[in-house]
Amino acid sequence: MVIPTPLLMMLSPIVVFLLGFLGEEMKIEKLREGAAVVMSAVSVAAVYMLYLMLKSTPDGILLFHLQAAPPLGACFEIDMLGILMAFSVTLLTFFATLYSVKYMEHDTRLTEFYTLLAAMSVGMMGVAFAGDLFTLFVFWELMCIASYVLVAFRKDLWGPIEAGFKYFVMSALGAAVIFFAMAFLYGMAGTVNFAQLSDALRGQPLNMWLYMVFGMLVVGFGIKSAIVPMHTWLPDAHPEAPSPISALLSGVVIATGLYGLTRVLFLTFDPGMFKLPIAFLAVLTMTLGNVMALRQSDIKRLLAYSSIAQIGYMLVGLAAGTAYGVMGLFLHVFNHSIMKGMAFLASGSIAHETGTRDIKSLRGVGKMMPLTSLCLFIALLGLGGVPGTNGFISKYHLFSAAFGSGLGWLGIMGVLNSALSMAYYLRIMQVLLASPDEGFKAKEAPVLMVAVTLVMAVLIVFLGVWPAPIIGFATAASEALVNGLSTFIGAVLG
Amino acid sequence: MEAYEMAIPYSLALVLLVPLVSAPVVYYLGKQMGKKVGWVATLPLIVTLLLIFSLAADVNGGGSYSESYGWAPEAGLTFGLLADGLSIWMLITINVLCLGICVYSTTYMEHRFEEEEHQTGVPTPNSAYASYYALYLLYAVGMLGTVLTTNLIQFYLFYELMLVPSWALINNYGYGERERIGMMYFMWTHVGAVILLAGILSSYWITGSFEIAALSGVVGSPIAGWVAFAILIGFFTKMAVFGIHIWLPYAHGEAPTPISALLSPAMIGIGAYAATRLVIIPMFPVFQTFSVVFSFWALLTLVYGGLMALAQDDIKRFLAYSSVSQMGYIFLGLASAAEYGVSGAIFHYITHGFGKCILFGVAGILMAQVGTRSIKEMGGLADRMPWTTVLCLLGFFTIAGVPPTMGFMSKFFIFSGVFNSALSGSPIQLVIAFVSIVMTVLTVGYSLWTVRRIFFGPLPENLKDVKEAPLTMILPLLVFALFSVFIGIYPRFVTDYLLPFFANVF
Repeated sequence: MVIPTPLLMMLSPIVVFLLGFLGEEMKIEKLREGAAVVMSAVSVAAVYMLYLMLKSTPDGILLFHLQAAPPLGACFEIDMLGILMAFSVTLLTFFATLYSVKYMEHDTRLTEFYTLLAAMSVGMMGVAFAGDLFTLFVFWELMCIASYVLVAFRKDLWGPIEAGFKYFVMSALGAAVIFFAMAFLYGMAGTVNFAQLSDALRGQPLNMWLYMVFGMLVVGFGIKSAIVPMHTWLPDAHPEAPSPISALLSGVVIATGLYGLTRVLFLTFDPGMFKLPIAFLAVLTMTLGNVMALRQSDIKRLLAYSSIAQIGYMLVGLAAGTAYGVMGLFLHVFNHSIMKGMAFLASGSIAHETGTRDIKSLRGVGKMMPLTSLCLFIALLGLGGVPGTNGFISKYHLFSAAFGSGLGWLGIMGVLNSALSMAYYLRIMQVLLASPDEGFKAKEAPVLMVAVTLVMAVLIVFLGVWPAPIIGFATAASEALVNGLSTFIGAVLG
Repeated sequence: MEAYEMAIPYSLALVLLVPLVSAPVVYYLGKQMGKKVGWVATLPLIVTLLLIFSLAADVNGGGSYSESYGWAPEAGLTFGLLADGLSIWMLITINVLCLGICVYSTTYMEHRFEEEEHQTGVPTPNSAYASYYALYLLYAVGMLGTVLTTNLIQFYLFYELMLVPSWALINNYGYGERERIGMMYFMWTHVGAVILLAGILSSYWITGSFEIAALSGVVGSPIAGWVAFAILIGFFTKMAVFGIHIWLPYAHGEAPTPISALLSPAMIGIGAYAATRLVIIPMFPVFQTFSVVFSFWALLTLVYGGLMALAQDDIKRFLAYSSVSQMGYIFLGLASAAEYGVSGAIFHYITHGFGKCILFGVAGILMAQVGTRSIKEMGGLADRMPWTTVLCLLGFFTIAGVPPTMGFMSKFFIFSGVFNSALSGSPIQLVIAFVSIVMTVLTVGYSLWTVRRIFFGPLPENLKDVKEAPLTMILPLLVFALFSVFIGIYPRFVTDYLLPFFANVF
């Protein structure tokens, strides 16, 4: 089958690179920035086109084989869940790229920067669309390699180098473990295609090897999504990266890890099997994330720990094991991508203008950068789950799912953790509101950066007050994963 | 007559929308006009008050009025608004207090900012006034919305909307260690609120609906007791019953005084209303099993609050502990689980609202005119400030239940209910009833003693030049006081709503 037009946007890194190179050689100003922004906008549009294509199919799945039919060739199997992930990814990439135009202005090697940014985004999209483990792994590595370089992008500083190296070692280990798990799965089922894998393994009596595969999957994907105790790289890597990259890392890259885990677990196992271990990890992850965040003095590091806590909340949806829980999970993935992305962008603006990330020395920023502070304020309220923001909508679905699947204790741990998390969000808000120390001066961030954060702030409130469309989208996505498994298998094999 | 009352077409949505939409407008105007914007902020509150009054005429005698809007049906959310005999007086109280205190704020906040200018030497920017009044309106929306709502998630939305602006007001405009205290206030009530949320979410899986009316489906479930308890804990933290009251004296003490005058009278009592609406009415059999324990807990609260009040020197902390004690009475009325007790509790909310609002207003006047919060440093002020003295006395009469103020009527209702259920209940309840009625002496005691210490006795040398407060501060409080006496003489304006409502319930 031919590759449909919308998927051609996966070539965007190449386009960005060529145009960027051209721009540099021919001294055409802003050509590469223009190309990067346009390509990221085109990607959002392409995902929307895929969404429309998917809507018009009867069985709710789009199949594209690259060479031969499975189990041989690589293939894309795009369902509603993949679209939702890709939509989160492309939307946040678009915002981050737009923001970078101003934020990264004074850096060098920008052609590399935008190319890698586009490549990372394509990697994540590929993971979301992959129809077999092999394709998934290829795009996974694309995402990883791009992100290693981006974390250590400011290579003249030691912090980013160290953080990037730590991230690289741990993440590469994770990838190796995933690869190992894939080898086991191939050995057991004789295929790497998702549908065939599920057909062969799901419902089989559990044996030692399957438990081992489960463990390896949790560890492998868990490193990427920073599930405690595999989280240690994150609090170093996320703050040291340039802010738009932190936004993407915390907003969607870790969620992509969770997507991989959810997808493969639901394909291979019955939810009853992984409920309890995942619930245990969820409690561990959110509690540690919240407690550690309380102790931070660096605003970006605090947000990084908050991301760990948020991954813990998302795991609650996976632990519930129901379609409703998965709906909550991916609703939160989407909402979190906007909130955390914006929180990193806004704190990036503040660090950009004031030259510090130390929370204590940011007293009174609210008076000097009112718009950026307002945005950060809204993002923090959203992350804390205050009603009226989209963060509340998805959190209440997550915890409600826990109560609904008989894991009441998990729901209670969730709401208490969520309350605890307000303590450190409030601390930042207090600092923003305080009256400034003498001699502390800053001015509002450049218009473009403020505009990006403002649009995202509006989205947070809008989706919090009128959540119906995104809930409908996430419901369709979760149905596709949990209840639509048989149609999925039927569509591929039949 | 009928046609005249219908002259203002009302919509409950407008009651929330008018102040909500006005908040950014007030902020914008405030940046231009500075302190005068307080008067603009009263306008939306006047509009909502007119709407509520015209509504009140129609739901008289057990009627009700509701509106429903689609919100997110996929997630089980509707946006419903309901006004009936239970909520109408809550709405009136909240709205009248917000309006009066808004007028009061115009003078008080000016004084507050001048004081700060004096200390720091930095002129107050217009934006300080602008955000004060914008947050003030949002806070009012939060309180009105909590009372009106019919859906549990919507309820939680407004419940938290009360919290965030009030936190910001304490954090920005409070006294003392306002940041630490703001944080303390937020965390205590937020943890209470999420426990409430846990109760709401587990009720959803029993009843399959987020409607408040559907909560009756929880009765009979094996975890009904836990669900009711979780929901109640959320409200008890807000009401600051004994044991989970820690945040209250700090928050009410250090909040800017107009905000104390809303926190304590208007907001914390909403916990009692919500407990009635969400637990006592739909889950009555479950609540009844808690009756004895809660009566004891209420007794503990009212005695503890009263004794602590006696020990205070800071007038605002004194009033805060007195609020704890009064919440004990309201809690006692609820715990009696009887028609008169529960309607008395709601009645006492109104009483306490007006009474305590007058008293916090007086505290603010003293802070502005005398310049101290320490009761010890004051004395003999009656000659200097006759109006304030009268107001203070009437405020104390109201909360202490001295006739002819309405406090007498509401306490009478509460104790009717308490004795009613005690006589048919266990001997322990009878003991609790006796002890609690004896303990009303405490309220009268700390009230009159404080009045004597502040307003009578010798006037200290340094207070010779104290002047009476300006009219904008006196007048709203005077309206509250007259209202208290009026309802004390004609209680049927309130009971005509409450009693028919509760007659249908029990």
